[in-house]
Amino acid sequence: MPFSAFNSALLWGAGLVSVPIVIHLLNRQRYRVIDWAAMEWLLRALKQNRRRILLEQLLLLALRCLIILLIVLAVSKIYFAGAAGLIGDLAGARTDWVVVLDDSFTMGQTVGAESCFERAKEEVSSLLDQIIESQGSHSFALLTPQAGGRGLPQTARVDRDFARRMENTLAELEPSDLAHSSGTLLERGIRAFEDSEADNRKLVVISDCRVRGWRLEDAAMQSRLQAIDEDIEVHILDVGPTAMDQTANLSVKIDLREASSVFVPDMTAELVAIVHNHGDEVARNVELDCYIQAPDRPEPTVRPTHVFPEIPPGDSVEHVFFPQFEREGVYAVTFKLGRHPQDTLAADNVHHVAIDVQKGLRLLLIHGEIAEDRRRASTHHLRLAVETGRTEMGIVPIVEPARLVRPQAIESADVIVLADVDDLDDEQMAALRRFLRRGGGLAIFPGEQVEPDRFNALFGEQDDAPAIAPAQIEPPVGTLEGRGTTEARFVRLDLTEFTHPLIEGFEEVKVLFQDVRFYKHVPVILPMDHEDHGVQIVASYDDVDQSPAVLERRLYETRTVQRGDEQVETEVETGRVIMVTTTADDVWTNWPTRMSYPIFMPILVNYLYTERASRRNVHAGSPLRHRLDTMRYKPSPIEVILPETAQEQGIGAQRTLEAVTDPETGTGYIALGEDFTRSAGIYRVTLQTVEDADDAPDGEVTEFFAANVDHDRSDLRRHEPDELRRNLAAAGVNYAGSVTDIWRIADVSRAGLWRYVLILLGCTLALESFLGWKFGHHKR
Amino acid sequence: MADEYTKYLDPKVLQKITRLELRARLIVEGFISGRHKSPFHGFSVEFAQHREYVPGDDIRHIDWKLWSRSDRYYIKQYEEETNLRCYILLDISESMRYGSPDHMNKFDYASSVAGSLAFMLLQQQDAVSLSLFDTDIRRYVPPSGHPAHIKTMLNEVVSTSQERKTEMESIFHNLAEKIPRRGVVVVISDLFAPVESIVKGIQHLRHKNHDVIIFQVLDEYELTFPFQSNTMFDGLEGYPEVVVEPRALREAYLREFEDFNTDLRRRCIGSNADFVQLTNTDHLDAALSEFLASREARAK
Repeated sequence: MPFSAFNSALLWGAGLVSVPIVIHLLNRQRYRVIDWAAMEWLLRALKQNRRRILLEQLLLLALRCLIILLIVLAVSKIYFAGAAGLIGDLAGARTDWVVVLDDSFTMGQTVGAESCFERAKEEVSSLLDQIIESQGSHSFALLTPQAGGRGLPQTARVDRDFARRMENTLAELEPSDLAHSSGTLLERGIRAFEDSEADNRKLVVISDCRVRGWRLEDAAMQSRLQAIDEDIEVHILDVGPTAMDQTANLSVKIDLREASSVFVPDMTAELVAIVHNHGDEVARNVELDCYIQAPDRPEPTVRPTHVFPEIPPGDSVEHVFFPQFEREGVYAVTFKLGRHPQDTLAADNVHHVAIDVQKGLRLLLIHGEIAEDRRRASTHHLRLAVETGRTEMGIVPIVEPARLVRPQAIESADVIVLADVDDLDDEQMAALRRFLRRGGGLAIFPGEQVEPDRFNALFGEQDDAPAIAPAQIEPPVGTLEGRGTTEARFVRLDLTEFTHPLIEGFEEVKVLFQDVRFYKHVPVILPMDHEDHGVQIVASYDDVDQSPAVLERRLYETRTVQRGDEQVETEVETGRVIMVTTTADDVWTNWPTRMSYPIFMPILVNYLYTERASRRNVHAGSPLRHRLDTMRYKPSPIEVILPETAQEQGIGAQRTLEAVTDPETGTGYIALGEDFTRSAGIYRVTLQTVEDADDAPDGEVTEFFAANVDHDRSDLRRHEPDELRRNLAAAGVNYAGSVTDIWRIADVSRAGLWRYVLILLGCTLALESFLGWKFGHHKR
Repeated sequence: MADEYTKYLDPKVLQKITRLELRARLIVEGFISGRHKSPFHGFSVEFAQHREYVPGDDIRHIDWKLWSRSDRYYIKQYEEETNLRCYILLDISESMRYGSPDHMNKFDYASSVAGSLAFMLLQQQDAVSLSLFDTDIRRYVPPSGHPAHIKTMLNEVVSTSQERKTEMESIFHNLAEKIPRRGVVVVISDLFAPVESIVKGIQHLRHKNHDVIIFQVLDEYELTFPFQSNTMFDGLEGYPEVVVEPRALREAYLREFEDFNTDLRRRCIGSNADFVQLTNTDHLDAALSEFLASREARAK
């Protein structure tokens, strides 16, 4: 309401409030005259009661003024608008609205004329209109889940000017490349109320409510719902497609586990593109393009377009590209689907991958034998196994005895195998821990020379450091007697379960393991709640106890990361350790002499290295941290050119960084925070080389990193509204299909204030009547 | 003007009163024996007239000779029976002028009371005197038992006006000294005067062995104070005017007025005077009949 109009209304209201006073004054002038005989007693009564009568009159006058004021408030809509706000402010009866707008990339799904996101923006406008129409005292904040979203948040009293500004802000908003979960959306909204002191607090989460993002049965989600402050009224506004079967979507991705993980110059690589049809109809003539960007070329190389004749509904098809990378360096590869009528979501039609092409993977094989004869070392079979496929896999094995291996060699390795090792000096152990902290992969074969106590002491939990080995070992069990005869006693691998990524590829060829015998192995003692400690069993023996044969420990570290305007602590995965509970050579097992051994070991090495390689490729919005070889590159300046999408989203085009140095290890990192990587695409990084550095080109080097939408969220299935409504209602959350639904339920301040006004009016009337009766004014 | 006094002799009122006799509670000097207890027993009396027998009359006074001639019962009346002297004091102060709408004002009502009593007394051969007073006795009609005396008295009443204050104590003192024989003094007034002065006057009359009967005549509104809207009360008898919200004062006023009346009644009765409060809405016949009946019962 304009101030002048409010002022005018206030004047009218003030005039009405003065009516009882005017009536009182007029009444004092209007009287009838009576000759009165019993005057003596009347004067006496008057003298004794003059002050009481005056007070009673003033009290009744005040009450009547209040009654008029309340009636004016209750019936005058124009006046009420201003006064309600005024009263609301004075009494603190304000309504704080926080609207969390889900800008996940799935909100960009276009069904019919508009996308879910466009509809969401319309609902925000509609909500603003309703709030303004209600004419109470409101504040309003529009948030996106990720702090620092463009033009957000804005908190202000809601009026027409605010609505116009908000319209401008909304017009600029587009879906991001992020994929938010329902928990994130709720948490973001609830956090916004931390400083709110309003009586009425209303959170509206506007989302498309996909099955993949709204895991209501998830324990974390349930606990989050339970933890919502009862004072906060929560509404989930579903703007997903109205047709439940509207899931038509095509997506493409490359899974690095399916492809070569070590890329060597001039070697033909394999890149497997997986295209999935999420819809319920056959997609025909789907085109797939591939672009390869070399670090030293201005433009990408375009590969011939591949056309998939048809992709069945709900099914995936693959196409393998065989690129050849000319030289060392980081390449950027992009897969992109052509426009297709059955595709309603464009964000997942492209997948970017940054690929490290290097001379080879440095595999450091450390054995515990005193002898320096490599052929007698327990790592001998390992070296043979990986060298067999060297030209294809690009693995470069380096064999070192434990007592001689230098710490620098440990730190610079890509993957390390410890075979029969139970003794490393402090410097070696420190280097090994640093190697793991920066994401190194380690394989451990305890072996026959290992003393369990020494082993457990060395690789077990330290006072100031977590355990390295997945479990403690015990003295070996089994016997080598009778080996080679029919009386030999042995166990095999349990071939019933192949769920771990390391062995899942063997499920179809498990026959390879049928002739593998384990005569002796070391039993292990798993930590309590081992899964909570990142320990899992990869494979077991087929003995009665199902003793673990292969175990994995993933190492995590709590790090402080920047999230929006604040620093938060988060747990990030660092290195990983695989332990095989038998020897790496053929002393306790015949495995090294069997066909599965040279097949499995390169896969093991790749598994341990692949995860590190994938750290150049993250989901949009995830932090990216990559080791910088400070011997070759200067820590500053690091120029980063952001993808085009980042420019479109207003994040920026270019930034200059400095390398981050780990204070404990001294290792330098290129760190791109989650705010930095919000946009999907290729991040081009220019590094300055150190002068006279070995093996490094002079001047500048270009590297790539890639961020992608989370393709797991390409599945656009939605929750069934009634089911969602029931589940949310159980947690006290309102499910709404439109703003109208919210408004019907929301206890907005106007209604609240009206109720209060009417209650107060009734009470005042009753009090006035009572006092009037009590004071004798109404006696008949 | 000539017949205006008859308004005080409403036949409906007087019909009942004439069947009753005013009986003095005390022995009044000069009362006719038989009808009234006289201190002068055996005293020869002179026959005055006959009157028709009414139920309740002592049958010893029936004139049997006349009955034998006329076959009707007559009572023989003697001069001594008219010896009861009743002095009626009627208040003509300004406060008596007040009367609420649709009712007689207090003066008119008091005049009716005086007229009814006088008529009844004259009917039974008693002598009646009338004094109209405010700060002084303005009119005085000497006692007489002649039936025409009523006309004289009531003409005095209608020709007076109510303009002054009330001053009772001196009036009563003067009267007590002037009345030569014991008699019945009937005061008809609103008694809006200091209680102490009224009581002193009464006590003086009682000291002279007069039988004192007080009729306090009030207006209904003075007892209920039913006013609602803002009102200016213009005080009579020289009181100032005042504008008040009547509803706010009602309770306090009624309390004060009740206190006054209670005190007055208590002290009048304490002085051996009869006290009767009449309201101008009371039916006069019923009120007087009740009073006379109760007085007769006490005398027996």
